Amino acid sequence: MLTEEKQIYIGLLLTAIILAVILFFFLLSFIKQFRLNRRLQHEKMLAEIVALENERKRMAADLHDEIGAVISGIKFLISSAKYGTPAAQRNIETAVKHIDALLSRIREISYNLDPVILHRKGLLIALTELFEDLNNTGKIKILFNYQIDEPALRHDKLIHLYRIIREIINNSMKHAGASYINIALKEVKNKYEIHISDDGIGFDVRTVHKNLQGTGLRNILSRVEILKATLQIESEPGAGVKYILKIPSFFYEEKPHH
Amino acid sequence: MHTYLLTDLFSYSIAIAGVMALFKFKNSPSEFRPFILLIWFGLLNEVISTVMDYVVVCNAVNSNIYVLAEYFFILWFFKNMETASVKAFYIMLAAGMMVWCLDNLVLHTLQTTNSLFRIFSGLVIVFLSVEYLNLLFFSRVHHLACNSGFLICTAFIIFFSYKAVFEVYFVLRHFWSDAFYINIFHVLVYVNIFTNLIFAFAMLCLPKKNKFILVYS
Repeated sequence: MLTEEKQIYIGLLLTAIILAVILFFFLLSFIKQFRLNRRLQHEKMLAEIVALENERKRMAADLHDEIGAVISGIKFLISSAKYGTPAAQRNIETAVKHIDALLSRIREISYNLDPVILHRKGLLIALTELFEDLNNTGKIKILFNYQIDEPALRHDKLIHLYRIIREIINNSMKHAGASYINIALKEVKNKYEIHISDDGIGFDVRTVHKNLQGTGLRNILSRVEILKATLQIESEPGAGVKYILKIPSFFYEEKPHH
Repeated sequence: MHTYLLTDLFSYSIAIAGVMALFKFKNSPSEFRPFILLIWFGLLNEVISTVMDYVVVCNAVNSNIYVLAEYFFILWFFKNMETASVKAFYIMLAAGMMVWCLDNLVLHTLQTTNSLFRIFSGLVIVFLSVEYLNLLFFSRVHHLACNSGFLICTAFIIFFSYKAVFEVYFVLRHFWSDAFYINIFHVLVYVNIFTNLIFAFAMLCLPKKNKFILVYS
């Protein structure tokens, strides 16, 4: 038998070793489950957003190709109708105007659902056209600066970047009441950086971050996660908002189709 | 003699869960069946141990066989709970049987209480329980305290962690005095009662079997 002191030491050591092994396994298992859970959540979110984009594309195609074509046909029929009385002529002209407005609105909705120009001409041109349209409304002034070539982002990732920028602009116009927005795109150390700032009412970042349910910010953050990007938001009530989005280089795989 | 009887009596605390299992077996989901069989088998082993103690004054043979059966039932339970895949189940079972044979047939005999397999099985069961608990934590299950899987695995971790430590001390049996071993055995008895009470509560919380209705019947 060992001395009493040695017995205690060895006993403690044995117990500690076994408990340490169990604790170590617990931590390993916890980290494994945590990573698995994160991956599953990411996959679920990705699947939801991809399904949403596919559904938008389908709706845009249906609107443009089916409803738009039928309304164009109706417009042609009405335009070619023979005028009877001056009142009937006026009615026909009014109906044609309404149909033109309707067709224009359908094109707009269809474009919002699936910005074809993004796939055909790239992000920079799509954004330039979007900002021109918004500037033309006279409600807002958007200044767009870029010192880069067309971002060589993967085709399926471009739509997320486009939606993030649109959602931020939408938030600035709708919720912040901004009258001026500055957008800059640049490439810094193999990362695309997008800086967006507005002169709106701003918000308390912590409060908004705590209560993300149903806000456009939640949608933005989901897409930021898909892009494995980082989004920095700086704001204070009454001081406008500044967003800095940084996209890592591992999505630079292929040039978008022109 | 009095302590011995009391210890013997305490070991029958498994009977509470065993009796409850009689009422629960029919309506319990199939994944919990190995656990119920484990409880009944544990109770049967206690009866055999009592008889063996009085007849041949040693219950080592049935205990050595019981620990292998216990290991099998618990592995089967974890396979049903999807903590261990079918492949992992067979690998762990084969490894367990090899360690059991090595411990009880090669290194020692069935007539002695052997610790090697008990340490191995104890650690495997604790690891599987930890894995299941972590799985449960991330699956956002409500009312964990009334979740049978959670209760069973918690009880497994408490009992088998202590059992692994206890058996390691028994491997080094010449290091300490007899009084020390008697004391740590008494602690094991109380840990066993506590575990059996958790098993009884888990039996109460056992979910009911899913009922399926065929729409065309």
